[in-house]
Amino acid sequence: MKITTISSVLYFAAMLCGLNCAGQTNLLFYGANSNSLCVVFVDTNLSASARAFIVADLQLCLNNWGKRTEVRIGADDPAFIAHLYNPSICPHYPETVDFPDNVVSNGTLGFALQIPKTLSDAYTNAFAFAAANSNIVTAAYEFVEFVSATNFNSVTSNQISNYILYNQAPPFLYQLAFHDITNSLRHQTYYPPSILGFEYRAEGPSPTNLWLLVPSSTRPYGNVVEWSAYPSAIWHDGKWKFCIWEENPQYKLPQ
Amino acid sequence: MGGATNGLYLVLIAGLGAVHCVSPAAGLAQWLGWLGWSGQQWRALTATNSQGFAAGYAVFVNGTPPYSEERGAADFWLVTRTDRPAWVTVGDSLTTNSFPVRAGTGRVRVRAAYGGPVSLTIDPLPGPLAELPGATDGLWLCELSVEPFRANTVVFSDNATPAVAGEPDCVDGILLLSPPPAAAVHSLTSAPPAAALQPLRMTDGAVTLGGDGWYCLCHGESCDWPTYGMVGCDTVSMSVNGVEAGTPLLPKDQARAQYGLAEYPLRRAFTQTVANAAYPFIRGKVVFQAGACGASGGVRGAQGRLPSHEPDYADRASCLATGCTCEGGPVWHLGFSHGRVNTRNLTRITTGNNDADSTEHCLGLVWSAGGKTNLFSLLDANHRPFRDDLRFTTDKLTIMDGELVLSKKAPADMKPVVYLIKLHYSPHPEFDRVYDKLWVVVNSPDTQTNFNTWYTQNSNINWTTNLPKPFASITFSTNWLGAISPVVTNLNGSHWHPPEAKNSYMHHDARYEMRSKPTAGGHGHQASALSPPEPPICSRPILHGTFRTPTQITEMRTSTHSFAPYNWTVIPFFRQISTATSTVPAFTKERARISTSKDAPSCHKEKTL
Repeated sequence: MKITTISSVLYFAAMLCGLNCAGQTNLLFYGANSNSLCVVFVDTNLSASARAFIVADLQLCLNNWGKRTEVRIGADDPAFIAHLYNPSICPHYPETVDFPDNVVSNGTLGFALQIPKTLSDAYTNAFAFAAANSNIVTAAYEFVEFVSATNFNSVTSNQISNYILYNQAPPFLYQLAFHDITNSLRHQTYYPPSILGFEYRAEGPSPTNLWLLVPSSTRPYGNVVEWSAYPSAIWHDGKWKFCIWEENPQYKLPQ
Repeated sequence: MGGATNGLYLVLIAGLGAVHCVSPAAGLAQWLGWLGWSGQQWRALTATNSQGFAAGYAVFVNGTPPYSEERGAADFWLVTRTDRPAWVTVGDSLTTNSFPVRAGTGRVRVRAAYGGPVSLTIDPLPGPLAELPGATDGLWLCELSVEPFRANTVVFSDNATPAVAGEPDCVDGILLLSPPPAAAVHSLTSAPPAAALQPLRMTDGAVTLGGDGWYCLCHGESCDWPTYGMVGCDTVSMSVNGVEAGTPLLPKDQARAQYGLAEYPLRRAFTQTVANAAYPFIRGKVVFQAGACGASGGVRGAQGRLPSHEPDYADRASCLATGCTCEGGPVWHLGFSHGRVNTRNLTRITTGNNDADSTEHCLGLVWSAGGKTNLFSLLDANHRPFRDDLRFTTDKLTIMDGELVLSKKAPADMKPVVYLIKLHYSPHPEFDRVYDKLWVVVNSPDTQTNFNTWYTQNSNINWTTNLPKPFASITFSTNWLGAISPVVTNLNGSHWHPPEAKNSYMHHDARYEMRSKPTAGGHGHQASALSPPEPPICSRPILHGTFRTPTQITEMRTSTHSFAPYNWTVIPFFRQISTATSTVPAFTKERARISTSKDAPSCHKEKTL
């Protein structure tokens, strides 16, 4: 099953455009019934365009993962009056970054989701990365769009190595593993990544490697929905590829 | 020895090398006659063995305690340069030995007992050889010196301070009470050259006292305490140091002061350096453990009760320290009940954080709005008389009157929040000690719901009873081309498909696979096999993969990197250990794949897992 909620390339173009737009209402929609919530920023120096872009990226996360998101009254920190709750970890964000969940009073407007400065700073850095690597970022959204579409089903065993990378795997392995790979990947539903989903890691064929968290979901049993960013993708040979990278590869080729 | 000075002879010694120019009256033939040895015996017994001992002397050293013990006596090199054979005599506090050395330059290893001075003499005319005509005529060349044998031994003169290479655990000394004569030429009528040494030793190497036991810090005299007499310190060194065999290595009150600095009343190890007062470069290292007297009774922390750290009460307290048999009043070890919380049964993955590395208990909770947990109810019942003196602290949550109040924000699924709870005993303001600790792992309700859903769908394995009986073993044959293949005959009408080569890449060493035909419910066996002589196919059929439905056959055939079985089996497993049994601080789906991650130390494994 493959779903994309918006056209990835158009989305990214809109985000870049958003950097130059101002005056938009910072409003988020969440939950099954598309409830709305204002967004406020701790960093008052943040430009309107940056705010708009952050809100757009938050909305990107909430479009699907946020279907079960709800505002719950009460917070452990007295500075807040409620919190945004989602039963699963945000698959769009790196492990080290929490999806914002502190809700403050917004006067007569009701509640507002507060974006801490650490998060808006992270987005600011991500904007700079995107501006400097626009071709790579565009390619990332194209990659996710492709693997989400039915065209991915027509990839042949000779082409599969363009879409997945195993460390130290010889071409023969891709032939051999073709059905396993495609069977596995077809069980996932992929979603456009957050701009925070790009991260450099030591894992990979180079000393430093650019990875992309590709949000995905699956329904393994019952009504349970498992959200994950596994497998992630890596920028390799000028392409984005799903990547299985183990220091000591566990596969063993037939003798 | 006797004889006149010969001027020409002196010139030869100085200019040409006396060893090759002198023909003493007591030549080798005379020595052999005196010793009763043949020439072959002379060569054999004056040679040094692989240990450096003269062969004749080695018989005594290796066969006579304490010389036969490697660390039982002091070793040194005796370096000689002489123009004729000579008779070396070594006398120590226990015995006197003599052996010949050859003419020329050489060295022999000498071993002397501790406890007294060691005398060394070297005589060119022992016994009747001095009576030979002309034997004492002229002069003889003889140089003598003493060198350390071991790297941690120093040879020194009084008031000298030699350097010691490296940082050995112990440094032994050989004090030159009377150094060898500086002159190289001696009159044969004079007394033989001699030297006197004093071996010194503070410890017999690096010493661990008490083994796994411990010494009691109590004030009573009924318990043993480490003394100089226990560590191999020789009597002379003790005397030089102003101590006796019964003198404590570390004064007990000083040890008590160090012990009191510890946060927890656990036993602690002391590493004591004992140094000779007069020669501080001579030293030794002693390691021992000490602890508070167990017989004193009273209230203590279960965490410090090793190795079980289990709460309990006893009418009488016993001190189980080394050499200590005293008893005292009742004792309470306070802490979390092992029946109400989980106790670590997995190997700890240390983190470097003292709190994390010394916490032995964990408890999984499921978050609920306004949820509370009574921490007193988790303690062993023996805490009740002291309830007013006990309190709990934690790093993030609120604790009100012993009740842990869960946060208002629920954790996300697979992202439990871990809190460290400390049990304090504080009977008065000046005394506040942590007596036990507990990890509380708060999980999302979704974690439990998801696990329960998975369990409901998978707990019924009655379908396995309809599976065909697997093969206990299968033979392999080799055809005329040398190819090895499994042989199974008469499969027509059976419940099994024939074996086939396993052209997969993730079954590791698997070479063949054999599947049963699906039962009415679509279930069957999938068994893989290695090549001979490894275990044959189907030796443990269920564990080799029993699939449930036809659609899952495809999934289960996929690699360990396949995501479907990962979500099917791995994630439910982690949900179970997190909610019900174990503490796994802050793991995520990604981290769950790295079970040995140092920041996710698992604590407890439930029997059912």
